[in-house]
Amino acid sequence: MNSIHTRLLLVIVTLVFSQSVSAGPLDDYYLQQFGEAKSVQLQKAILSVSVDTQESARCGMPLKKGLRRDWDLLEASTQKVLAKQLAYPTLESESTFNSAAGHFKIHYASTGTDAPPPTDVSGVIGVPDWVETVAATFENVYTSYINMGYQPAPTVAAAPYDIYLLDLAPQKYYGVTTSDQFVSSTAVTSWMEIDNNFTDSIYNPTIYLPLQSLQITAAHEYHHAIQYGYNYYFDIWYAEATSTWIEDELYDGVNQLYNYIPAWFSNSTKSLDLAVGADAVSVGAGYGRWIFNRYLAEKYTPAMIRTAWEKLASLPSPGGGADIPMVPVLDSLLSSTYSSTLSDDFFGFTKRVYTRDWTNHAYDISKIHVYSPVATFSTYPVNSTVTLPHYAFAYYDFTTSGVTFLTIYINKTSGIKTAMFKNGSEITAETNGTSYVVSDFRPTDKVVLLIANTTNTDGHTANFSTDGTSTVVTEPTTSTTSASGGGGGCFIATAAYGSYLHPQVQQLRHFRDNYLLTNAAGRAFVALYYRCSPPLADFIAQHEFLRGVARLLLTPIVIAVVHPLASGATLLLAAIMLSRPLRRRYLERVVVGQVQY
Amino acid sequence: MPKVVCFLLVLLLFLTLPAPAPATGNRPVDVWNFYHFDGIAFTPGPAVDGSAFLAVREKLLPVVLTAQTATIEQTVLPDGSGAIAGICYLQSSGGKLGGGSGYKAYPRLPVLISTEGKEFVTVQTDDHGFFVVVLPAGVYSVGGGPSITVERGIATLVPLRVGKRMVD
Repeated sequence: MNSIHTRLLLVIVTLVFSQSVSAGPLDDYYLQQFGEAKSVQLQKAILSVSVDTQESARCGMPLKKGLRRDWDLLEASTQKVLAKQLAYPTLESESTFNSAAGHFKIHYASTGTDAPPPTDVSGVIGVPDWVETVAATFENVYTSYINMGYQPAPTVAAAPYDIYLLDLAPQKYYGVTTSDQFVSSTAVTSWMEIDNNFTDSIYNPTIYLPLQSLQITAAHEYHHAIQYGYNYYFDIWYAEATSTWIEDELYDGVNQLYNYIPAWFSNSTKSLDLAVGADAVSVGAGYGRWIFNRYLAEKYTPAMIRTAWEKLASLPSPGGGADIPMVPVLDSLLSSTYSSTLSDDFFGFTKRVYTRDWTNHAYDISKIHVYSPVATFSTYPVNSTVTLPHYAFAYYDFTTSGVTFLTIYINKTSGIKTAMFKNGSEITAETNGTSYVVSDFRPTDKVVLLIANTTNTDGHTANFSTDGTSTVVTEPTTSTTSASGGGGGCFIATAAYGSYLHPQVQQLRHFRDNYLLTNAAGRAFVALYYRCSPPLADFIAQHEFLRGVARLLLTPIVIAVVHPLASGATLLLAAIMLSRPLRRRYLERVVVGQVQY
Repeated sequence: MPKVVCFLLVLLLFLTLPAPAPATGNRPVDVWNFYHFDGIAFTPGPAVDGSAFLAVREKLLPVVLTAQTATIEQTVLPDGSGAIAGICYLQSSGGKLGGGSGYKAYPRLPVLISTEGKEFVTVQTDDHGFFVVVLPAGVYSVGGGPSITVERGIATLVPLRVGKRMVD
């Protein structure tokens, strides 16, 4: 071998060798840079790598760009650990600042549009004052929640919670809290983005000072972080209702949350757990529902809201990427701990919407929007019918036009509750709640009728008239379709398994919603089932032995629902095996018959 | 077994059979069909907002496209194999100032595919959050989710929620 070949071979060997060993240091490098190096071996390796940690902390964006560039060179296990880094924001000339008590790490850009206001005249020199204000605000929020009995948001290895300051005004966001890593079967860590200054006009800085916007955003978003720690599978409407409600518990003077109430009251015929979609603000979904938490907190204590989250924390994942419907959880909590029901408390709330006899935050009661009537009647007689989805309500105003005496006759299905008021005082119903009498009805009087569906079943109906005429109302036959994906019903299965939230019940509910209700035959079957099953379910629920039998009978159905092909194959096989002796017996009979003839 | 029971079991079988929903259901086998992710599920048609979408055709490997005019490379699925194509996404909800709901694709995320409780293969989402994997016909769990049946020559589309974003 001549010298050229020898050199070439040496170069190739060196290149191959360097490639084979370079994956390790590269992996270690990125794991170290993103704080994911955990083993002793890695820590030793890190010590041997010359890295300017301060510089690396200030260069988050190049680091992430490098990670993206080198991604395919990393080992699969390293990719798994660092995948989330590509989802984190990249900041220009990133710096970080830890809050005084060490619970939060504020990530901020030193240059560019994401940079916070640069003023630096107090506190730590070299750190913008606004960044220190952010850190202090979050520490204040943290302390408040701990004092209220909430558990802090989980972080990996009790690291400080990551908060990124970004210019979110173009996206019209105050803040975003994103789930991250599971630390148990249901608890998950998270990280947060908030606006870098809250000075843009969309935040109304002339009404809400940037500090105030920061305060309510910190209170709101950090409660989401806490919620992720209780149970990742939380129902989004209730998460928003709670985060909004608690803004006012921590920062009573800001009062931005009152702006979300009118949208709900003017859309009161939509369900309490209406999905938080793109139209959330315009229909009052989620955010507007905070006032229901105010009612619960007033009737019980603010701790009741925390116990709702603690109750949720005890529930398992429903599976299938679904969240846990909060309405049954609230109902269960109110029944088991507060000697009430969601039905009673929702009705109590709907009445308070009109009576406005709120007790807490007395100086802000005037900020709570008044009820919004669905219709106002001034000519008589009246005959009207309303059908409501689950946990929804409707108000009707009556004004006099010469009549001095008014009787409202009510014909309703079982899930409807009604109330009538005259000038703010409730009128007692006559004859088993089927009519209300308004005497001495004057032009200055205000008469109001409340109709509420206080069940988790859609389609309850009320008919009311002023002349005694009546329209037939029929009990709803379809199941509830909860906005958050969970429905009601499955009575027998719920009775058999003991819980609406039992995984087997959820499988059956999923089957009903996604397959049976998609075709006419299936809908007819479901309607028949809901007509016949409630009494049977009640009976089963009261007998442990029957519950066991029902579970046994339901098992093959659940298996068929979950594993349709396998079940089908088994049934086919069974049918073939059964058909043979039956066919043989049939042929024997035929043969015998032929002989007899 | 009484005939009535047999009839009921067959009826049950009939009702439960539509449970798996492969992308090839009710579509011609000799043309490409497009599916985009709408934040909840894959729905027919290319994405109108310029985001990536899937081209699916029986017996061929599904393809992730970023433009309707893109040329689709045809790769035949190996004999006895099917495919799973999907997207990993963060569910976005809320928006105090409006417009926060939707989803955010999760790029470069490893997705574990297992069968019979054992790891079979790990694939990675692309820059658009999509992944495509060819698998022998069988039953698999994708990302720890519910079982998915892969049939020969057919692509099954799977949206995987890998996180939540509370947007306010």
